[in-house]
Amino acid sequence: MLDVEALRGEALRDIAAAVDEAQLEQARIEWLGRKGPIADALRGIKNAPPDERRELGLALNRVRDALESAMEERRAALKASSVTARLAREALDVTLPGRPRAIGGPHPLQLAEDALVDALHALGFQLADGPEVESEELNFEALNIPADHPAREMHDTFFVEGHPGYVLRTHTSPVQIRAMRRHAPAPLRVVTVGRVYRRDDDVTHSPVFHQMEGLAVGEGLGMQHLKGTLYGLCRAIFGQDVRIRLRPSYFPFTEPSAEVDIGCVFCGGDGCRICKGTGFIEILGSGMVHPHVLREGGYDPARHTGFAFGVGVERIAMLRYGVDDIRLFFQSDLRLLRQF
Amino acid sequence: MRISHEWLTALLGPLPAPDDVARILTQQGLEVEALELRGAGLLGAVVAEVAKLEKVTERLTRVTLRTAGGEAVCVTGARNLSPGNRVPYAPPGAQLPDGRTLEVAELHGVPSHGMLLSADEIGIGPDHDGILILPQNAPVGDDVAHWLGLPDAVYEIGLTPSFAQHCQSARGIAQELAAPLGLRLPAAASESLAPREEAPRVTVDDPELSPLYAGIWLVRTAQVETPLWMRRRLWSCGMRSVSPIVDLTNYVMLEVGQPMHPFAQEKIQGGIHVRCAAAGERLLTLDGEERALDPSDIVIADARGAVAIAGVMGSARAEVDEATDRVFLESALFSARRVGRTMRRLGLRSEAAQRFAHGLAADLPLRAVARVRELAPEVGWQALPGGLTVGGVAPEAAPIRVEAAYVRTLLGLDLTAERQAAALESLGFSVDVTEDGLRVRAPRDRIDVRGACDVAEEVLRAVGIDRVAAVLPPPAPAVAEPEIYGLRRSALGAFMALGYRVAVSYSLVDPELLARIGQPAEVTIANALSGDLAALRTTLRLGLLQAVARNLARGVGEIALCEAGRVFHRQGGEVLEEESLGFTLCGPRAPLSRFGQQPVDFFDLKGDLEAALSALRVSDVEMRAGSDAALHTGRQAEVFAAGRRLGSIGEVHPDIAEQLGISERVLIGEISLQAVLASERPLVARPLPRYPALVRDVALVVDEQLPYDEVRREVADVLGGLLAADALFDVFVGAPVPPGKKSLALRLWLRSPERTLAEADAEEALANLLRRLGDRFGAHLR
Ligand SMILES: [Zn+2]
Repeated sequence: MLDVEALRGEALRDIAAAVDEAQLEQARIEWLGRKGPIADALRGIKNAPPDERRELGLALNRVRDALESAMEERRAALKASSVTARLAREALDVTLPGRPRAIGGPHPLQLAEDALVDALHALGFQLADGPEVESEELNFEALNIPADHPAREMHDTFFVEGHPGYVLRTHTSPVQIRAMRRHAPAPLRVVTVGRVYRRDDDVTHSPVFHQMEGLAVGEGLGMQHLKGTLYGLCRAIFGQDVRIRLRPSYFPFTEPSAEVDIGCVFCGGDGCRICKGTGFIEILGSGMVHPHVLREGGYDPARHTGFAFGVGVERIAMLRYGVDDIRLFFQSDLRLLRQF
Repeated sequence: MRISHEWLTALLGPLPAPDDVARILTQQGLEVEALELRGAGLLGAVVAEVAKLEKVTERLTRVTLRTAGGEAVCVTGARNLSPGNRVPYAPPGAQLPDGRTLEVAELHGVPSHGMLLSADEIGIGPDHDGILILPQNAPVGDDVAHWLGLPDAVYEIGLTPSFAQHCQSARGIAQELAAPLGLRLPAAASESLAPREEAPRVTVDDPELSPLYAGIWLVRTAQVETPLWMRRRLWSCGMRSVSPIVDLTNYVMLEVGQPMHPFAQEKIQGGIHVRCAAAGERLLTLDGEERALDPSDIVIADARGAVAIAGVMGSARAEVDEATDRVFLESALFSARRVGRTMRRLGLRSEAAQRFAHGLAADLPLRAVARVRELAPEVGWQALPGGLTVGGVAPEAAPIRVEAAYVRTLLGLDLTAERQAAALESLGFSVDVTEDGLRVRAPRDRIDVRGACDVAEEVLRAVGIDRVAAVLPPPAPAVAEPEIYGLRRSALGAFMALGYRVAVSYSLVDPELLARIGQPAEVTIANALSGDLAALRTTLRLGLLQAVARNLARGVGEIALCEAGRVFHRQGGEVLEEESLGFTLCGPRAPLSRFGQQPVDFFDLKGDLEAALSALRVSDVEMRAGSDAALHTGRQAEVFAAGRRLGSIGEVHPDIAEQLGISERVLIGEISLQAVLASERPLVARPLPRYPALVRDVALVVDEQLPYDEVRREVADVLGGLLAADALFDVFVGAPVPPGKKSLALRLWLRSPERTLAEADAEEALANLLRRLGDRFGAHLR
């Protein structure tokens, strides 16, 4: 009589002793192969007494199943341990620094400019463009700044050699005239951004700097629309909670004119050195487009009104990013640029 | 403009606290830029009377004072005291505005109980040589700060050009403050001057120079000091006290806004002539400088020549001095345009010139002389009756017609015509409300108010700008935006993705440096600030290379910078502005690490440009060897896209780099964004390939001098539509490749759009290719 249990025990020991795939396969052939003891025993069942045949067949099948699943398990275990071993071999010191990549990045002025233009795009304004070498007519006269006007003093102007009547534009406002002349009498919402030039050079002034201006012309536009647009713009730039104050002021190309202050972003309005204790910081000039300018742009001031506003891009960048010397923006110093 | 709280109170009556006044003025458009509290911190000083003066040394005097409690003794170096003077006395324990606390001190063995104070020590004026002598009506024993009304606030107001016309005076500012507070500024007197018999002849060459030239005569009646109240107001406005007649002139200017000029009468020879300066004329002005005059300047002249630059500055020859007891006081209007021009040219921004340059009301000279006549006795002078007038007061302008609906639209405020009229009246305007709107007369000082929009602004200021609501405007139809703007953003974006930082350089540069890098200036500045900002850039190269030099000098390495901006050229008479994109590399690409560090070379820059152009959808890019003198003779290329020149790239010539202070290899490139715009391929997706590609590697041996691009073009030509992609993966020179030859290893991906290629198809294509390369270049397989 075959000792099924002994056979099972011996086979399981063999399977457990296999240390790799090859030995396991060897054990499989030895025990479960066609010439193995189980196959032998199954073939010999017919020689057993009839009342034991059934019992013996069931026992042998159970042993075969048990050996097969033990082999599966052993195979999986062997595979797992070989991967584990490989991974262990491949372990790294993960605290070593990674492969350095040089990353690029924007200029703070570009960030400020994009923020301004994106905000105005969202408010329905579209970009317009103009030359930096501009005629005196568009830079001054068309904007209601005749020769000898005191406002020309605030615009210390660079003149172009051998090109009479042309200046480096002192503001982006001539683009307003260009845009109006192109589109009058259609309603207009334009934004322009670019370089402007003044004969000034100190900590707060640079001979080259950037301005952004918005202009809206149409029927029925009033100061409430200017104020609504300024709120939209200032919230986009300085956050939803920004406080805004308008103060009457003077610009030759707008009437009425207003300076726009925001609640000081440094002290929250309590008063500090930067806001000179007032709790407010001046950021924008604005107003209703002067009838002279509307006429120059080809609009009829009896029918059309408009508003305009302008802001220094450097000023916004200085406030947003805490840069305190305007000249730093033009140095291309990577120690600054790599912070953006 | 500076103005004291005390003066505004004298004009308007009791006012709110200084902080509130400052806020109200700012909301009216008169921005209070600074608020100074004069005399703050003066504690315990009292009024005392000088009883006895005794010399202690040559310089020091022992002063016995009569005080409320008896006597006090202190020592002073001042020499302006006389017995009977009332003086500010700070006894031991008193505190001064500068923070000092007084004690008993000993000077030359004489104990001094506290000290006597100067205007400077009290904090109300600049004088510190003498003790401030108080008026005789100052009661002995009174607190000095209380008696002088200290602290007194001084508002420093930044005036916009429009307000400068009517607010460079105490009355102008008071009028602006009166409106929001509901106060009234009492009207000022004016007078028409009856001609005086003995008046000298006055000739005004052209009314354009001076539409109204008036004056009065004054004689001295007493030797007195300028009263303290007047000096304090002069001081608070930042002026000095000079002499009674000059102080009076300045005081009236500060009060009403009219600059006047006193001439010593005995120094004027013959008549007065108001004319333009003669060519080459010169004048020694009061400040001791000899000024070359321009024929556009207005001068006041007598028989011997110019005695003043009208409205700007007088000369020593006709100036009043201590002996002067008779003056001719000129009160006139001069051309704002001319005075402004003269002031700017000579850099003489006197108080007078600034007021003339902004323009004055037509009748202001006559109001000013009336005020001088009123105040003259206070300073020991007397104005003689009458005076002289040449020209006249221009009639008031016709009323401005304003539609109430226009004001409502412009301001976005629902104000009836009556409400608008009331607002204007509070600012001193007179208004008739008619059926078709308002007829508005501005006060004569408001020469800045000319049109309906000016009137609207006045309404806005009177009702308060804070009442305007915030409403988004209705949308307008879309218009096309300039394409270059988006391209500039994406071009910078492409380079940023490749590791470049964005630079911003001045577009004004040094023309000499431009010439040195071979791109001389074409547009120069007539009035440049300095030589290094004297031309508009013709290239972005200069700014970028200067940025490289600056960074290297600061020890910053791994430089990768790009910049987008305009460059300026001339074409005929016109200035051409071109949008350009520059990029530069210097030093290793990445920071020092254990992975090694390679310095950048030509192919880094070329690879970056190729990647960027591909990102910008520019295809058919071709680079040919270039001949730019600023670049390395053998390491530079011109860049083309479909035959259109985009720009160039290369290693900077070592001589040029050295001149710019760069001792390392530096690579630079620049392309025209406008040319890129013209080369951009539309963004349309191509169908994905349907059949697999066959991959073949070939190693070709060709002449070492043969440019790769020629081989590549031949490959593309022979394989045509079958060539899906290609890559050059090795270039080898040296044994076993024969001398003078090089081996090029190419991988070719072959694919047909119609079917799966058979091996035989590939073999045939390659055989054709090798035959052609053999014929053209003598190439053979390695
Ligand atoms: Zn603050």
